[in-house]
Formats: sequence, structure tokens, C-alpha cells
Amino acid sequence: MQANFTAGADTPKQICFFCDGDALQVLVAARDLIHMGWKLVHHPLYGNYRPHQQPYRSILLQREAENSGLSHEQNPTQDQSLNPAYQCLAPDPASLQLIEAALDVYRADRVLNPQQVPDVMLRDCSQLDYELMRLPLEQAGWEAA
Amino acid sequence: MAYRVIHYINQFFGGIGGEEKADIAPEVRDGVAGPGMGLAKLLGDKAEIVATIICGDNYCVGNQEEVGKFIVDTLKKYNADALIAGPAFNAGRYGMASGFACSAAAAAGYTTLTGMYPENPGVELYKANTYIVPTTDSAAGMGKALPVMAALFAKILSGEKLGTAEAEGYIERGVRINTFYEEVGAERAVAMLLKKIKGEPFTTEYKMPVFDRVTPRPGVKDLSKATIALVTSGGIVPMGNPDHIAASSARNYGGYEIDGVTDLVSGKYQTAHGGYDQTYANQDPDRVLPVDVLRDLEKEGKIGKLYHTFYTTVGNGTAVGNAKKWGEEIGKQLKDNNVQAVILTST
Amino acid sequence: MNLELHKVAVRQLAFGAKTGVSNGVLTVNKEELKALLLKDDRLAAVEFDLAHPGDSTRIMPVKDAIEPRCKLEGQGEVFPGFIGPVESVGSGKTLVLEGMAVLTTGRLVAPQEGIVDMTGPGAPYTPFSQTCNLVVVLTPREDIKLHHAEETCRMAGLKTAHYLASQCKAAKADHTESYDFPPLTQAMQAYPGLPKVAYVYMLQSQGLLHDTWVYGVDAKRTLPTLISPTETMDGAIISGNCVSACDKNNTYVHLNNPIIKALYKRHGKEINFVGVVITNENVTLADKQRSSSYAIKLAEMLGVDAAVISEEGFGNPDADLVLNCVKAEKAGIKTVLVTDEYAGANGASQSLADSCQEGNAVVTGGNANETIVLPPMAKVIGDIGQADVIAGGFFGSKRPDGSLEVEIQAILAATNELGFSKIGAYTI
Repeated sequence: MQANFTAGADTPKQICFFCDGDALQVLVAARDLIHMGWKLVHHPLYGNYRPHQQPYRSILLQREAENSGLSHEQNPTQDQSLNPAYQCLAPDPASLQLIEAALDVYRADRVLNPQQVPDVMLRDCSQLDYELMRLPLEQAGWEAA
Repeated sequence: MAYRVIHYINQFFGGIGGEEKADIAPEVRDGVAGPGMGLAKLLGDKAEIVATIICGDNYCVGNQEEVGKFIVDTLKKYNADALIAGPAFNAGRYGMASGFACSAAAAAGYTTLTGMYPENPGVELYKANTYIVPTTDSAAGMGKALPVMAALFAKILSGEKLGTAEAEGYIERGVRINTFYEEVGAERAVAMLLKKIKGEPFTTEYKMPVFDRVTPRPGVKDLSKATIALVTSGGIVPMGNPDHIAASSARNYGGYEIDGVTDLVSGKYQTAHGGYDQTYANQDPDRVLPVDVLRDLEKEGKIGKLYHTFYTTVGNGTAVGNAKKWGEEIGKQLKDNNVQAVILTST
Repeated sequence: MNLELHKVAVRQLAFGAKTGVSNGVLTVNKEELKALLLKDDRLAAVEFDLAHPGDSTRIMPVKDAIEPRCKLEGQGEVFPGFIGPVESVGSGKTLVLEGMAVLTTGRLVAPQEGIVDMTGPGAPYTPFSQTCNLVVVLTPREDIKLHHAEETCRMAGLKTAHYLASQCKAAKADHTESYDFPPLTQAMQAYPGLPKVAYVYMLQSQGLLHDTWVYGVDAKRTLPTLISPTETMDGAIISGNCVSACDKNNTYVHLNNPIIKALYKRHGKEINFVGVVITNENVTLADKQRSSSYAIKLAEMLGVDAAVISEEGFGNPDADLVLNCVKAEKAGIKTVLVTDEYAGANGASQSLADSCQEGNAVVTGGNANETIVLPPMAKVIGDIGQADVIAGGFFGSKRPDGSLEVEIQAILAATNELGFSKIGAYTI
């Protein structure tokens, strides 16, 4: 779903990647960013839904502003060699362990794809994902719209 | 009415031959063969070994789908109730084959049991799927192993619910089974805590797994000055596999000089790994051990240099104990020779 | 503080002209209760049904289970912050209608689970196959937001439970239980030879459908704190958790916390049960660190020798459980952990998402991934459409003969992590 969040006035700036793929792909993308030094804000396995029960998964990562390479003008998906967001810093061991444990859970189960979900449920699933991400987003400085 | 059992053994215990016959396809013999004779006597009138499958260890490990089907078809053909395999002692490939045979049969709904040395890689791979009786590490322990296997097998066949591994004499399978206890969980918890407080022995209901956690080292500060080594469990070896690193359950690793080697070419190097299709690795061994790319980076000044030795083993059914030992040995050699970082490739 | 629970036994439910209890039969005036609940205009409709132990009845999806209680004497009213005012509770006298439960059901979100079978192979897996159940079938209005729908259903359950008990105030108790909770100065010095034990009570607090309230405050927004066990008996802790039927703590189990019961049983004889620390299970890593440090600091301030730590939920709360355990053990507080397991269908996967070597004393409610086949029941109360969701593979599958093959995760309180049931697991 489109973010109902806007960046607060004096909060770190944010980018949002939408992953092409399922929840497992989101976790893999998060792992890759963790390898580059981004840290998890929250536990990747939030919610009491199993991989075959909830098609959506969102991961919030952060690092110090000067290494984030984020600005409204820059598109972080281009020119990766120049963008500080892609500069490799030492990975945070705690984030690494958590994301690998989450990947183990997802690899051991059938992963539900949004395409496999009836519309009425998709709406609910998306809303629940948003609700469970509320606290991490709030604490990271995003204000609910 | 005796239970009808198929016995699975390898080429050696089937009297066909040794290592040179490890590639034979599975065959069936009516009745018993090899250790099946002793086993049948011990099973007495409780169970009858109606047929024996003999299969080459390499063949089984390399053709699992076919062998699995053969085993299930044989079980059906003989109207069997169960499969017993081995015992495999510490023969790694035989352990994996026995474990696999039991898994295939279990998946098709048959009762199974095997026996092997606790460090046999077949244990880690298959203990979740079948009961495994611990044996000594060599066939000298056959006399001890068979009675235990027969007794436990008879118990399982009769439908008796087995207790814990400790109580029944099998290798703990690491499988959780639900049960209704006498007391509610809260009572069990407080009772357990009281014992713990008093320093009395207590048994936890769930053993927390202990992970051998390794803290990652900080990143290399300046790659352009660093010596990087290549180590692989993908089985890349000089052509001919001079140190005879086994295709699975490897007992050794090798270290080979690559001074002056800029590219691993087909015909000079090969893979010894039996756990993946060897075609592409044999076509270009750099695909598993990227010497060519590292040499490029060396030339471009991106890395200081590629270390003159690469280390290799086959990570297919490797005993964890061995992997740990070799890792420590290789690590020490690299460190003593001022290598800053190592790239580990697997498959 | 001292709380007396006046327990009136209910052995049968019936609908009738006047709500009240007599000779173990609770009669419910449907219309009166309906009118009460429909005062909340966020509800489009409400219906009632009854389910007794042994009936060929399936109730699903169950949102919450609540035991009817109300104050007879003493400050405040039960379910403070929701039914009662926010005044402290936990002293005086409280009426309990024992042997029954209010089960709320109704479509909140899809997918949704929570099965109670009153008979058959699924019955032993839920405590609510042993209670006489008044089922409140709720239909929230279509046009309201999800969190309002959840609140409406939550309130309806609490209102019903309170209403039923309030109509029975004159009934004579079949038996009475008395619970003392002295001031800490007394408690800490009492029974000098006995080990001091605290209960660290972890509450689910991740967000919508995963929340718990304490005196009406969202547990997500609190720091760990102390609470009297008698306050829990008056409903100071309310469940808003309706995901993962097997290990969500319904309001019923909060009211009847078996760990509190087990600790009281041994209090003054083998232990000095000094107090209860409630803590939360927020998803952010910073909150997990803060809450675990704070909760264990409170336990240290109580000077306890040991603590029982219970978890709610699975997956990320396993991290909180481990943090609480490690910090307690490091502080010299011996722990026993009460949790449940997700060891996979074959029981061979790692049961918890986290682990610590300090966790050497663990009791579990069993493997939630164990599958069971639930035969068709003559009657299904709730949202029949959920059966199709189940068939769609979210919580299991439907066989051609109409039976459901599900993991026990879908059965209400099947692997409860307060140790409510006898279910557990062992390793082969």
C-alpha cells in the first residue's frame, strides 16, 4: 500500500523500497542492506502471523544521517557507487542474527503471495501490516497522516 | 503373525565387493544376506526379513530419487511392513545411504530403524525421519549393535509408544512430540523452579539449542593492501584428485599451490563434490573457486594479493566435528601466514 | 490487600425471562442483554447461542473468552478502565460465575481463527470444551474502522461478562477463596527461611489485534511495573489479542492465571511469593531492551531469589523471553520459563526463534504445529464462512467429508503459555 506516513519536519529523511516479490524477498532485501551496515529498528518477525497467513512484510532499517545518503532529490536506486547509502559499513551482529533467523522461518514455510489472497482479505492483511508497523515508524520519526 | 521386513545393506555387507563396487545399482535378494542373518535370528518369530536390498553407497547417494523409488517398490512387492537398514557404523556414505533408505520408506508410511556411529553424518541428516541406534565406529561392534537394533525394532513394530532416547537406547532424534502430562504447565513450572532453587536435579521440558556463534570480524580497512585467501567446500581439486577427497563424507581437506595460476582451466582442475551436477564446475572450476576474478582484482590493485595456497574439501555430508577441526587448522595456517581475509565459497 | 473470590457454580445455561442463577443453572434474558450491547451503535447486530460440554458444536472464530465477574465489596469495579472506573481493584469481595465462559465471535478480519470444539478429538485441546459457554455472535457495522470493530467486540464481551455476574449478586457462593497481598515491607520480611519468588508476566503488545490493556492503558505504552495478583483477578489485565488462537491469553486466563494460582498454593510453605512484575512485548528492538532491563530491575528491587517468566505469543516475543531470562540469571535470579513451541509439522524444527544457554529450565505448552483432524460437528456457531478460509489453506484444509485438518495453533488456548493445560512436549 502507499505510505500513509509523511516525514516529520525535523526527523531523519526516509526512503521506501517496494520489493518485487513476496515477503521472503523483502527479508532478503533487508538482509542485503544489513550486510551494508543498515540496522534493524524492529524485530523482523512482528505479528503473530505465519508466512503462509500474511502476504505482507515490511522492514524498517536505519543508520546515522551522514551515512544514509538520503535526500528528497536523490533517487537512491541509481548511481549506487556514488551514493553513501550503499557504502559498506560493518554489519550490526544483532541485526544480522535476527534477519537470518527470520529467513530460516520463511524458508521453512510456504510463503503466501498477495496474488493468492482474495481481495477482501488482502485489504485486511495490508491494514494489519500497517498497524503492526505503527510503533516502529512512530519511534523512527514518521508521523501518521 | 510375524512382521515382514526388508533389510537394506551396502555392497560390502552384501558380499559383492568393497570400494570398487560402490557404484552398483540396487538389487533385491530373497531372504537374508550379510548381517541380516544375525538380525533375523534376534528378531525371532516377531519379524521375518523377507528380502534384502543391496545397493552401492555411491549409487544411493548419487541417485536418491531412483533408489528411493526402488526401495518403496520393493516394500510394496514383498508386502512388507517395515524397513531396517545397516548398521553403518562410521562409514559416512553408508550411514547417509541407510538414513536415506529409512527416510524414503518412512515417507511412504513404513516403520523404519537403522544403526550407526553417533558422529556419522547420516545421523544429523536423517535422525528426524527415523530411529537410529548408536553403534561403535567399526564393524567390530556388530555383535553389540544387532541385539539392540532387533529389540528396539520389535518394540516399534508392535506399536508400543517409545519413551525418550535415554530410556530406550536410540540416538536422540531432536523431534518434539506433544503429550498430556499429569499436571498443568503452571504446576510443572513452579515445581521445576523449586528444584532449581534448592539445587536439586531437574529435567527441563525443552533443551534450548546452544549455537556455536562466531562474532564476525570487523571489515578489512584497506583491501588494496590485503592478502586474500580462497577456501572452498565446493570440492575443487587438481585434476585426478591427488589426495582422494571423497565425493561425500570427506575425511580430509587439501591445500594446493596456485602461484602463477591465473585461471582454473578444465582438465587441470576438477570438482570432487558428489552433491551437485559436476558439469559446470568441471567446464570452468573458477565458477566454484574464483581464482580468475581474484587475479583480475590483484592486477587492478583492488586487492593486495591472492594467497598462494587454496584450501578445499567436499562439504557434502561432512561430519560437523571434522568441519570444525579443519576450519581451525586452516584458519591457523592462514593467520600464521599473514592472510587478512578469506573468501569461502560453497555450493 | 485482601480479595475474596465468591465462586458460584454454573453447570448449565438457559435462555429465559430473567437473568439469574439458581441451582447451578444460569438463565439469560437474551433481549435485555441484546439491548444493553446494542447501545453501542458500532454494532450492526448481535445474537446469542449456548454450547455445553459434550455438545456436537464448534464455535469459531473466537475473539475472546471472559469469565463473568463483578465486585460485591471493595473499591472500583471489575475490568477497570473499561467497565469499572480506573480506580484500583483487587481488594474486597468479587463474585465469580465459575464453570462458564462468555465467548465472543464475529467477523473482524480475514483470516481469523480460534476454534472451540465441545466434543471430539479437539475438545481436550481447549479448556472451553469444559465450560458452559454463552456465545455472543457479533456483527460490527460494515462502515467502521477495523480498530473500532475490535474495540466494540472487546467491550461487548466484557459488558456481557459483567452483566451476567451483576445479575447474580444475591446468589450464595458455592465456595470462597481468599487471597492476601500484603504491603511489600511485610511481604519481604515474611517467611525468612523461604526463597523469595516473583512472577514476571509478559503481555503481548504489538499492535492491532495483538494488544493487552492494563487499567485501560495500552501495554505497548507502558514501562514494566508492579501489580498485585489480586488485581489480575478483578480483570485489571484485558486481552485485545486475537491472533494465534493457541497462545493468545484470553481475558479468561488472565483472570484465572494458573501461575499465580500455583505460586499462591506454595506461598508460606515452600516459597515467599513476593510480587508480580508485568512487562510488554513491543516489536522495536529498543523497547525490548528497555522493557527487559526495567522488568528485571524491578525483580532485583524486590530482592527475589527466583522468578517464573511466562511469554505470550511466538516469534519476536521469543527475543523478549530470552532477554528477560538472560538478564534475570545474570542478576542472580533463577528462572523457569513458560512458553510454547513451533517445532514444525514433523517436530524437528527449532522450537523457539531465539535461545540462550541460561534458559536451562523451560516448561512448554507443546508444539503448536502438531496437526489434528477435527470431524464435522452438528452445529457451528460463529462465522461459517471461516470454514472456507480454512479450506483456503490459511489455517489448514477441509477434507471432502467436511472434517478440518488443522494445526493445533488454530484451537483456542491449545498451547497456552501460562501453563493453563496439561499439554506439553518431550523430545524423542
